[in-house]
Amino acid sequence: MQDKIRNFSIIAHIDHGKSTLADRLLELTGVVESRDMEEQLLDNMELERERGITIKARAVRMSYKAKDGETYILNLIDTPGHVDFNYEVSRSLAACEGAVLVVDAAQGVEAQTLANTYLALDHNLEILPVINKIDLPSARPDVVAREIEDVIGIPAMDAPRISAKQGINIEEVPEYIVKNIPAPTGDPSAPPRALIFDSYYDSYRGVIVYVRVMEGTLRPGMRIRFMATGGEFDVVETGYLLPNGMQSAKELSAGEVGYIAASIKTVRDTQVGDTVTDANNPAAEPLEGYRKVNPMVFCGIYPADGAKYNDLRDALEKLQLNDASLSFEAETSAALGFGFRCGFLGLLHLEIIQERLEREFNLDLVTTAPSVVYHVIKTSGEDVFISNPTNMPSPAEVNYMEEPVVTAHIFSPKDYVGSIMELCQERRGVYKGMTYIDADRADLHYELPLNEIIYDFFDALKSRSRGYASFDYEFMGYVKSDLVKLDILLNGEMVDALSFIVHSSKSYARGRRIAEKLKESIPRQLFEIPIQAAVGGKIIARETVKALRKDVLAKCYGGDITRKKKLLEKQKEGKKRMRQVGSVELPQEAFMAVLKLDE
Amino acid sequence: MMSSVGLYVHIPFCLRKCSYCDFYSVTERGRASKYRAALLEELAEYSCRFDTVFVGGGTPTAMGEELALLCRSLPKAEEFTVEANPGTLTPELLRDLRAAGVNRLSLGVQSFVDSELAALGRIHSAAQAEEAFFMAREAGFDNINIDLMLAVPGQTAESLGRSLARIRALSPEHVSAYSLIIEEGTPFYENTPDLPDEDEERDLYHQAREAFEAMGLGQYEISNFARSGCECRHNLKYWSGGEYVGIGAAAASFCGGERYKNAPDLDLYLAGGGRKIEREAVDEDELLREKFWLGLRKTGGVEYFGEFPDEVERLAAQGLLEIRGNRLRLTRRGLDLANIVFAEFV
Repeated sequence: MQDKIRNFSIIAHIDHGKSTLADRLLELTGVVESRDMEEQLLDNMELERERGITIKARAVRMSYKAKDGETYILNLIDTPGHVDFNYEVSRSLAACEGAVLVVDAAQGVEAQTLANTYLALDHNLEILPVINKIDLPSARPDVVAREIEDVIGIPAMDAPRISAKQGINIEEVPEYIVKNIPAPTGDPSAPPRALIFDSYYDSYRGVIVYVRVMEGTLRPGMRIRFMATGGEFDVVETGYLLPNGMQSAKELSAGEVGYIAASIKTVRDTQVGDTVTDANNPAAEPLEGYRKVNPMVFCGIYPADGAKYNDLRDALEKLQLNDASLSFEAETSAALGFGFRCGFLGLLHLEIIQERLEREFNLDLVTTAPSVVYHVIKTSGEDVFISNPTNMPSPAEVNYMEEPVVTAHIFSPKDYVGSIMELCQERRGVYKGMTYIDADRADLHYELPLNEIIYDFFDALKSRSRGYASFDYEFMGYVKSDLVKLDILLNGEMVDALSFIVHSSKSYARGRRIAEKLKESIPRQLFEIPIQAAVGGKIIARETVKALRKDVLAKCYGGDITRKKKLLEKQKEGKKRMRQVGSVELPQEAFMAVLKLDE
Repeated sequence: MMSSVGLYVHIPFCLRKCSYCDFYSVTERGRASKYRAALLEELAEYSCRFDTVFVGGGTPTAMGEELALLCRSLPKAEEFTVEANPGTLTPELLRDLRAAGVNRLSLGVQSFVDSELAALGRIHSAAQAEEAFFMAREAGFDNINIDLMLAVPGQTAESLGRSLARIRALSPEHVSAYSLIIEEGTPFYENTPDLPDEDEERDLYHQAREAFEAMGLGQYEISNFARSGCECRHNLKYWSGGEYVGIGAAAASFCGGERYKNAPDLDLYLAGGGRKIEREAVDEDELLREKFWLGLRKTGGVEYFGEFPDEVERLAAQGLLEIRGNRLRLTRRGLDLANIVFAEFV
């Protein structure tokens, strides 16, 4: 049985056609009729489809009759396509024996192509390159095949050349998978070890855990243990993940991919990367590679209407049911009242959660500027990690500080290398080297402080390379850094929700820019409002919002009173959306002003 | 409240649409006669006594002699206003209107600077406006309003000064000074010209107010100035909770405790449809609110017996409202920021 199973992922740079290829495979293996297909079946979260990216890992089991006359089980484990979710990607890859590497025939190898390939190689996966989009007029499959060989070092001359969109040569792909990806191994009668690569909350059955069984067998009735978290549960059901739903099966044995339901109440018990074993016949060692995922980016999320605090908490709890990497705890702000400090894997993750809160839960939110986690070593010897700038100890108490740094690879056509290096320098990057991928494109290697890239680095990169540069990074560690807290005062009062931490070399420029941005976003009010930026009590920038002089409908609307009333009601509505901070009314956008510095 | 009712008659015809205007009108006049008949038919539904009549538009005078015929058939009223575009007046039409019972003329001058008139898309020149004014005096109109527009493209203190000097020389009984507002669906909305900013606009407004006061035209409403006794009684009804009936396409009414409108659709109106839509009953609470957010437009304010104490106290503390005896009114600063005050009462 094992020798008829193929477990694989599809990896690709964003927009190279990963999801489209997955759709075609599902179609080809007949599990989904093409006319019933919704585009990009695996990406079934509304947001995923809109953004064209995969956020959650997913799996699907296909049955494929190969040219050798045998029927094979193809398990496709989809991976999230963004650097924020690198750890999830690595766990999905660890569940496979091979990976199909999709490369765009026009664009060639990009930063994520390489990053994902390296990840796959780290897991000893067999990598099968596929050249996609050969229907494009600008396709250059031969060049790209050579590029894959040169840059990545894997043979690519025999790679299927396909167009997932047009359905050209798709049938080559499953054959290629069957022939080249090794079948799983693992003793079905050993003490079980199954790798968790995803889980989600189902309101009827509790948490559904997606696993790849590496050794042994899991079956209903078995008492299982999660080796890292220590939780124990009784398996209620095991089964397979078919495109149109779950199908229960009497067991999952070594080599198979499927799900377990065990009346688990919270996804936090089922951490991605953890090992499932038999509590009564446990494996000696868990599978390698588990680590607890720590949020990298934090921000304060507050209900625009303070009365919605409980609604916000309920919504966060609901989202957390399916997203163990989202963390939140209650906090209060003098300016914003009661809210939550939320932790995310990265800025994309933050944006997704924010959007889901607003869309799916219909909440109006005020979000403070994202911050990374700083490490403060106090003069007392005590050290603390702070994710909220408000909690930064006074300068007198600080011995020194450290900030998170990432190691980044930027791929770019060589024409833009100069301006990208300039950008990295502005962002305090440390140049580590540059290699040429081909005659035209370079791979720039930098170490960059995380707080310089979480806001708008990617946008800046895109605009300086006309959209051609691609970017990938991973966390490197904490590095000592000269950091200060920048405070904003409105009408002489400090607004805690606007404080943030910045490198001291940038504090002046930043302070000035933020004061300017705030001046643009704060509407004129009854009195003049001074805006000041301060570091350690010293004012470093000042702007003024002049007092309002005109707010009157000096127009004749005849007897059309209802129309006038509508205008006034609209004005009243607008006022409700403002935050009263001390004596000043702040629009919600003001809290994000610190982010939009490059506009 | 008031026993007598105002009659508003909307004339949706124009020679050309001005670049800023979003009032309902069409640029064809072929159906003026049919329209007149339809108006009289609608008027017949009402049996109340009208003490003011206001014929507005659009451009009523674009109907030519049909307008005089119409006015002859309208009720005789103590105050009978017709809006007129200076580019459409003749001595004959003015004489006929006067003879038909019209005793107040509202001239849509907007500016006495030709470049500003051109920028607004007006069909007349400053000289034509003056001529129209003299013709009206000649025809016996002793109560004339001039509409002046503030914050128009290219306007400066100097150019406004020129318009104000011409107004002083003409010595009208009444001036309405409106600020240009960019409304959706107008050419200016699509293609917004350079306009004076908020500070400049207020300076222009204050400049105009001072000039009017110096000419003996006292301010009695945010945008309206008049010689004592020449305040527009019809418009005062809008701000004082008075009843008025609007007939014609797009006309609005407040009658029998209800607000309603006719659809802005000439074809529909001529076919007898689109009448009294968007009906909205006005209850006592609403009426009380309106007393404030509409009544406070008048510089004399409203009678005050301690209603809305929190709002009034806050706005008074902010220097926007003041209480004088049993009257509550906007301060001078409140006149500039009236929406902040009104928004508290809607």
